[in-house]
Amino acid sequence: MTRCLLPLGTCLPAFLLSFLLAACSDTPAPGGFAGLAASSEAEDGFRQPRPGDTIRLPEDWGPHPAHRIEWWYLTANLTTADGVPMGIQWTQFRQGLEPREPDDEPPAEQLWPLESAWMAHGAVSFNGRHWFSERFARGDVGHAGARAEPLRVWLDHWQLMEAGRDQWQLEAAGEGWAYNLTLLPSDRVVRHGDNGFSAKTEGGQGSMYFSDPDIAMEGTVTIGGEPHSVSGTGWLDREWSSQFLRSDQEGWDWFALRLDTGARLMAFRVGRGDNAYLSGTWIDPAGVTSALGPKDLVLSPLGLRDTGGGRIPDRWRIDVLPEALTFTVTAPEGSYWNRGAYPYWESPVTVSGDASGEGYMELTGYGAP
Amino acid sequence: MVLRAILSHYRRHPLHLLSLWVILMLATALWSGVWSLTQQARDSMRTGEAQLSGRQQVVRSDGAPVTVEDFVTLRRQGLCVMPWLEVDAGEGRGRLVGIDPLAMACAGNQETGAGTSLDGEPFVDIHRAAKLAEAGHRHRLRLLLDAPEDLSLPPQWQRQPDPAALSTGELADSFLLNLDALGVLVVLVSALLIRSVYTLGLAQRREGLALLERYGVTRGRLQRLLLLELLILGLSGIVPGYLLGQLLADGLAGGFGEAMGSLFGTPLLRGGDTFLQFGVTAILMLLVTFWCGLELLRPRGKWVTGNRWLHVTTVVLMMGVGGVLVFSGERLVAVFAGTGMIMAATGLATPYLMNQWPKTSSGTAPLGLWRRRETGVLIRRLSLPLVALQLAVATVIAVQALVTTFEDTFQQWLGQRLAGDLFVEVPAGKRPEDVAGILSFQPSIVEWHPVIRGQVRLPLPDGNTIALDLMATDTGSGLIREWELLQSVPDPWQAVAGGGVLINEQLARRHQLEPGDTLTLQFPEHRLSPRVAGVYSDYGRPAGEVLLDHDELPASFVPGFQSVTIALESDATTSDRQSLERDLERVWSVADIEIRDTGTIRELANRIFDQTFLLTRAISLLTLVLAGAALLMTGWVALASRRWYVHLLAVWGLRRRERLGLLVRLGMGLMFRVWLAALPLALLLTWVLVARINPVAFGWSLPMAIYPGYWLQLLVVMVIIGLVLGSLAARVRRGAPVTMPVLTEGGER
Amino acid sequence: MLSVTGLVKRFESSGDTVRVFDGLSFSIAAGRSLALTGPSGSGKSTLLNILCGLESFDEGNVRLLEREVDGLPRDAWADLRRRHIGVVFQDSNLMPTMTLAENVRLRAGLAGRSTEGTGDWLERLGLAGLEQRYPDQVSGGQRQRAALAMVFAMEPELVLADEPTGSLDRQTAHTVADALFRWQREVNATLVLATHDLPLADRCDDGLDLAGGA
Repeated sequence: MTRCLLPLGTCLPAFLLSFLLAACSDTPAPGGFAGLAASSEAEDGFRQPRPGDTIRLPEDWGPHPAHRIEWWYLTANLTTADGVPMGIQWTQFRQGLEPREPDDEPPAEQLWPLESAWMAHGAVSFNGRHWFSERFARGDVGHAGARAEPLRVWLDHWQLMEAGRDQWQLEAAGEGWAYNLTLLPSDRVVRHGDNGFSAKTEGGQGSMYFSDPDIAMEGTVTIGGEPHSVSGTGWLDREWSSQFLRSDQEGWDWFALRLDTGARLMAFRVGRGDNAYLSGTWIDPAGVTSALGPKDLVLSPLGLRDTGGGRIPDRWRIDVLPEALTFTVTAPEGSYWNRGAYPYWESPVTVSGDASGEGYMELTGYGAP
Repeated sequence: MVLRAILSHYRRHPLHLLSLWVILMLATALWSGVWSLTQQARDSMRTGEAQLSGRQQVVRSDGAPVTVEDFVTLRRQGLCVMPWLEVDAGEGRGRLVGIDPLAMACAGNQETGAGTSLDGEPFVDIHRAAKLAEAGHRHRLRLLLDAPEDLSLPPQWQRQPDPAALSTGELADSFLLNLDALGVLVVLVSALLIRSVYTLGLAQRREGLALLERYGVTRGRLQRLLLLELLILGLSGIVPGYLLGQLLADGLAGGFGEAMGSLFGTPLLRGGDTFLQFGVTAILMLLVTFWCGLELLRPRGKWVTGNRWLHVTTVVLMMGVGGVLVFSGERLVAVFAGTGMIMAATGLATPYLMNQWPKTSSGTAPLGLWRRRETGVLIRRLSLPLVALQLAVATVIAVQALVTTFEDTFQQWLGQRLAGDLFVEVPAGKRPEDVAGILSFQPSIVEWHPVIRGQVRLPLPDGNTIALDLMATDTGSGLIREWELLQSVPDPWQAVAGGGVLINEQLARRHQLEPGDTLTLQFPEHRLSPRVAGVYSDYGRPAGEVLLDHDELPASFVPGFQSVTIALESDATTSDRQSLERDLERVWSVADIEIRDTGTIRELANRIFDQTFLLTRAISLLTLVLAGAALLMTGWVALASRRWYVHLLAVWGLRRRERLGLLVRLGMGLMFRVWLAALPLALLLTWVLVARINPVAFGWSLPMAIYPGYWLQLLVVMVIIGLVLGSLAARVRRGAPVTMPVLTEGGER
Repeated sequence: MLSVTGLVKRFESSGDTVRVFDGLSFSIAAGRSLALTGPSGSGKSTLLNILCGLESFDEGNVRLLEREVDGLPRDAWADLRRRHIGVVFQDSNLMPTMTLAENVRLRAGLAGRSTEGTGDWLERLGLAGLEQRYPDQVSGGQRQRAALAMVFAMEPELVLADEPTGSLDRQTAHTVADALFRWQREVNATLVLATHDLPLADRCDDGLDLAGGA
């Protein structure tokens, strides 16, 4: 899933750079940064995904130090024992500052190296309310990191880790909220785009992107000291790249939907207006995937919601033309801003129309709270 | 129809409408700006305080130095632990402190955007410091902890107060209290300004309104319509004013904001209380609008004149009661109320007093007489805005004095607590005397003294005892003798060396102790009855403290904390320090001793509080801008009503330059009077803040300082305003019709 | 003393050009008086303003006090008014912040005359005992007489009076006019008087009716 390209692509580096420059004025800035994705091969030595690259599992669950940016991004639509819907999010971002080949020895932790920085986001959405926390760390000292086998992605005491055969454990806690959930990943990993290469522009720039859209989850979510037993389904995205958005691509709309028919849909729009680039993946009930290109999808906002920050399109019409299907996607009442260093909107959604279902929606570039 | 008739005034005088709107907007801007700035100053002070005083560090229970692994393990358990790597960077570069801004993001107060300000040397990214450490530079890693007191650590680690912790204590509280008091004053002053602009405008409309009334429009209807007009105007000023205020606050706090923004990526003026802030501003504005509206309900006629005897009695009575409250009030409320009364009385008396001046001088040239008489008219017509300006100038002067006083006090406070260059914690079970030999013979050491801290009890007349902080040191040390004493017996240091004690101001005030009095100190097995040799200022410490020479301590005294303060030669090198460190380790026979560089701590403290002071200064600047703008507007309106007489002067053959000179002198003279009238009030306000409110609230006073240089700067600003006013009034356009005024009784003079 | 030839004064009024005077010519010898009559808007006040330099004119020639005034700098005009031209308006001739005596002293002082005899002028004009009153403490007629006292005290050669009795009742107007004419003859000053009041105009040596554009 490419959704956090914007926060990562334009915001996190700015964040990191500025602190680097402030705290350590002789640290060189990564070259070509301001030019965003002007060249296809990053001049500063980061490796760039290109069409034809493939995904190798389980290695690709782990980090990609030769690439500049990547994330592990989990969203889940859960239900409490009383049947009340609840959404949760857990995301961990890595931002490379200096590239390193995966086989190379990492720098000594005693040196407090600054080859990468990590950021984690956790959120809970329940009864129209939204809780959010974020954490930061530098890489390579053990404070934050990831590895493929056995799977483990962590920052502070937040972590997603393998806890047994085909079973993962997710833990995170912020102010007023905490969750401890057991995840059963499905064996159907979806490779988006061209066998995992997901284009983001007409010019063929893009990222490597795969998902597990059906993770059975159960466990406890504690809100304001009150524990809730929950169960439901999650969607985990893995994505890495070295490119940032083109400078004319502002904002991002992304949807991950699970339909009651058993079909799954991932759809995104990078940029707005004439510069928008649309892409997605249709997964039919049998698990057969087909890539959706710019001509196969229509994403149209149906209504705007005034929030504490900006006006957010809270209802969308999504047309999947090859399937001749039309859906309406609606965010529940409430404000779902992730008010971190770089605010964006992340909310659970319900689906109606030619099929009903549920999922998640992420919107960036609609103003800040 | 009636509404149109009412509004037609503004069609003829669009500038009246504009000036009223501008003043409403500027006042809103001032409030939102001041609110925002005080909040920021408060946050920055609180954060600074938390960073300095609340610092605790994590040490290993086995006594080994902490490592990266300890950091990671503790972080992985969810504890907010931050690395702090001090490195001797080598000759000429002093000490660097490596920090991890990413790891620091977990520390409290991030919500406000006012985190830490550790950007720029000596604070560097920890990676850079670690590379120096690896290259062989002497270094020490600490892990600072930001966690509630009751949170327990895993058994392998223990929490320990950071020896570099500094508690500003009540010093910060006092500053914030004073800041709040001034914030309230700013709101009052600006309310006065709005009202003065409004009433002046209203006075000019009275004729038109009276005409409408004669045409049969009821008074009630007129009042409702005017109130509605005022309300709409007020509301239309709120939003742009609010935004302007935020912009100003942002701009004024710019340097600070940028530093913060770059360090943590948090916009300076974000915040969940934006809505609250807007709400408060809006409510304030509505209240003031209604206050202006009250003017409409007043029966028309002579409301200004009144009984002069009554007026004088009121002023004298308010001054008297206010004075008594301020001078002898035992409670904060009384002192505040007294200050308010004195200020109100000053406001009432000022126009009268300013008017006495032009009246008394006579026998000068006819034009001089004319100028003075016109000044008298302006003082009467502008009494409200002039008083508002007077209060604003007094407030601005007081803010400046207060902030500068706090800055100086803060420096003094730092100097007292961070004396010398090095601070060495005496290891547990060891004594400072053990190293006396080494310290006395090190050529790089200029001076040193031990500091032994603990507690002692003071018996009270009622039979109870209270705990006092005790500090024992070598009172012969030059570093100690630099302390400033508020009161003392002759040759106090001699007296202390001979068994006397020094006490802090808090103790002196609370128990009415004076130099020469005898004090009883109750030790577990001993009792001392020394004489008080002097009182020292000890800002910020809530408790009483007594200082005595270490030779006077009973042998049975159990110290709570012992350290050694060392002043080095200015050319002392890093290797001097290192050899000193090794020598101390050898004599005390410990593996690793704590040597803290007081310079680094002072640097840290200075950085943190500089921000606060910067923000506070911005407030006074904003206030002055508003007052100046209001005076320009009201003065311009008032002078416009005297245009016929300026025209008359032209008819009588005064050249343009002569008229300009005359009116400019008039304007500047007026401003000079306001400035002069503001000075005593400013002094009073400053004095009340530092010498009354502080002792009443905290039991210690700040030194009062005045800054005439700043007064002169203000005078220049005000004289410029007067100059602009005068030159505006002097413009007589050839051929432009000037309407003759209607001469009503007393109205034109 | 005063001669005007071919005076043209235009006003721009909502896009149209209005000619107030279109070739106005007249002259008046020293020590004579001239009445300017005509309905409101006929330009009486404008003409007086032109004659004391407070307004400019577009064409023509004005000579007064032995000077060509066309192109006379403002400051020179100011000096003329200060010492040689007395101006009386219908009302508001006095500074309200100063007593009658102070007003007279101020005006005389500006003209460079002695301020010693100011009390005499007030007394001669029947204002004895009112010297220390402020303008708003005396009647309209008394104010106008004080205004005359100011003009007399400055000893001008030319007096321009704009409806000097316009806001007074008949009886008071009469006394004020008497005082003015008596003084004018006494000191042989030149007087230009704009008025609606025909009996008053008749008391002047000459008349100029601006109604027909002269």
